[in-house]
Amino acid sequence: MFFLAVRQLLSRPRQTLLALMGITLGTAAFLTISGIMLGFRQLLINQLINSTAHVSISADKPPVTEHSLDGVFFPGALVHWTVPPFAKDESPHLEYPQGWFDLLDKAPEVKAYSPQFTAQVLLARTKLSRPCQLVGVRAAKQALATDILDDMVAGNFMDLDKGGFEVVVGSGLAEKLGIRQGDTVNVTDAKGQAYPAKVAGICQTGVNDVDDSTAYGPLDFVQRVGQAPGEVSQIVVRLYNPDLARQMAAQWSLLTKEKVQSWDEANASFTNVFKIQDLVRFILIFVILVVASFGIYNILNNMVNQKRGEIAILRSMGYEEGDITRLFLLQGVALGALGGLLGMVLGTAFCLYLQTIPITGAAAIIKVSHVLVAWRLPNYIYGFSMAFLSGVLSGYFPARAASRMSPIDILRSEG
Amino acid sequence: MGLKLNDIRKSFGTPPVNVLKGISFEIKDGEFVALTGRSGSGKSTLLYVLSSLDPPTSGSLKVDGREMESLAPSDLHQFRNLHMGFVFQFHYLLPELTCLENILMPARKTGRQVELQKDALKLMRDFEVEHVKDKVPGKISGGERQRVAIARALLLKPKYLFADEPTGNLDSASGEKVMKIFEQVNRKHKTTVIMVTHDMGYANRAKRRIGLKDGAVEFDRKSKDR
Repeated sequence: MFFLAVRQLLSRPRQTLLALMGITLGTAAFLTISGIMLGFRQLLINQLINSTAHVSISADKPPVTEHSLDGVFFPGALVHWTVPPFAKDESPHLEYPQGWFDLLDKAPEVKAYSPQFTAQVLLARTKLSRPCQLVGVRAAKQALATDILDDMVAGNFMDLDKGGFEVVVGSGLAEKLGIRQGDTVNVTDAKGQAYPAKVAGICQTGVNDVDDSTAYGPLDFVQRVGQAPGEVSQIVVRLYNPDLARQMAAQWSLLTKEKVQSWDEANASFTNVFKIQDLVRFILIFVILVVASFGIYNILNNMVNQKRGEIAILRSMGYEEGDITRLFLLQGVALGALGGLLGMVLGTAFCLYLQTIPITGAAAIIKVSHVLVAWRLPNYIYGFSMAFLSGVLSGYFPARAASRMSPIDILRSEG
Repeated sequence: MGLKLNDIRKSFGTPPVNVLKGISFEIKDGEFVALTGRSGSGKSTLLYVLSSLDPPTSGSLKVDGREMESLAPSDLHQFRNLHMGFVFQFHYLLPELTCLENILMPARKTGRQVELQKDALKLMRDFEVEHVKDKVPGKISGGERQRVAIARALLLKPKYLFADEPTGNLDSASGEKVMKIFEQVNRKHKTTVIMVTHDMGYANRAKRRIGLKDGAVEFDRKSKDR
């Protein structure tokens, strides 16, 4: 029946082309939207991982309240506070960082880790100043635990380990303050004390939030600025397999009261957005293909009604119900399969073109030069499968209706 | 062996309308039978029952000694494909196929379309439609379409040819050609032809005429000179 199915499709070129276009455009739209969404998502994930590492271990002390001091001043007595205390530890730090270092050194999943101490400071050059998170690191360890060396746009990150007061400034911050490599900036702590520091380099992670508000300095220098010598506020950990991040974070959380977070937990708002994006993506393609399917259904249904007499003569020749089902189902399948294939070609062409479009404008969350597209086999498999399935389903119902037609009823009504 | 009907009844709808009211007769191999009668006499319904396209409400139909009711659907389809040909008042040619492809459609069911192409062309030659073999039905005359439809019905050399008003849509010249073909296949190939017609001129050319009136056999006559 394939022969006849193809001939029937070709005998109605305009209708066939219209149905084909629906499926083709639906599939192409899915591939294009998926390619762009996932392309930007992958970049965002990579940059988030780079900036937060696979797992972060940080101090998470609850605020001091009246109950935090129960039994301290009047043991055994019920204390009523005229003004109840409420405060937060000025420099939250890990209770026993060495314990973490020992654990991480032994863990086979851990590729590298980097202890950090973060201080809130004011970075100033001439009369310009900006609040900034100054992250104290050991450059060698930070370089192993993150991709910071790849993010350097000027200078050398490893200079932070030279022993002087040097800082690496985020590109956005550097731009806002007019800082270049080699300049000297003033780092002012919370109590107003200023420390001059030389700019060893400029880094650009690509995540604007980070680049606009972060600077790196030597760990001991930042500890001194934060008046917390020897303290570590966070350890960032790089794993051999980033997919294990959530599992390892959960495992280490059992050992401590401190906050252990995988990169995706730390950026839950982004992962929620990804889920919504996926939902929107699939709803969109579903709607497009449902519309296209109705097109095929409508064409085949009309064809079945127009070809009642021919169905009757085929049945009188000995063609069975199954043959008639195949005749119309094959047409739906052919439209679905061909539409899916053409959609993949068109979608690929769209994506290739989109990759050449430059992105400009400061509003971008992440800095990229061109539209990003993810080339993923599952997108093609999903796209083709949905096109094929819509062809099968839209062909099935008219085909079933045609096969159930009694040849004798047709002949009587036509006669 | 032929066709044997015994007390065939057929009714439609609720309450039932009896269209065939206990018809019994036998058609032997090689006969040329015309079923005649006025509109609504039940002749077309009888033809469909005889050809096993429509099962009777009651009674029995034996074709070549086989009870058609007892055949499995797949056997019935195969039997119809191999042993029965149909010609209707309207040609029902598939408009997207050429005339030759249309004639080969019964053979395509069993994958013999290449093997039987020469036979199809010979039939077209015999019926004077060879010149339209590559044309689609929309591009040829009504008479040519009906002869192509007859060629399609005869391709697999069926033992039985059922025709329902085959000349009903044709002018007299084309109708004459169709009748000559029927007479020829009946005479040369001993094909049993059962033809419904209300045209007594054509009916008189059959070897046997069965007249129906109100769903019952009114007369059953054989031509002495044929």
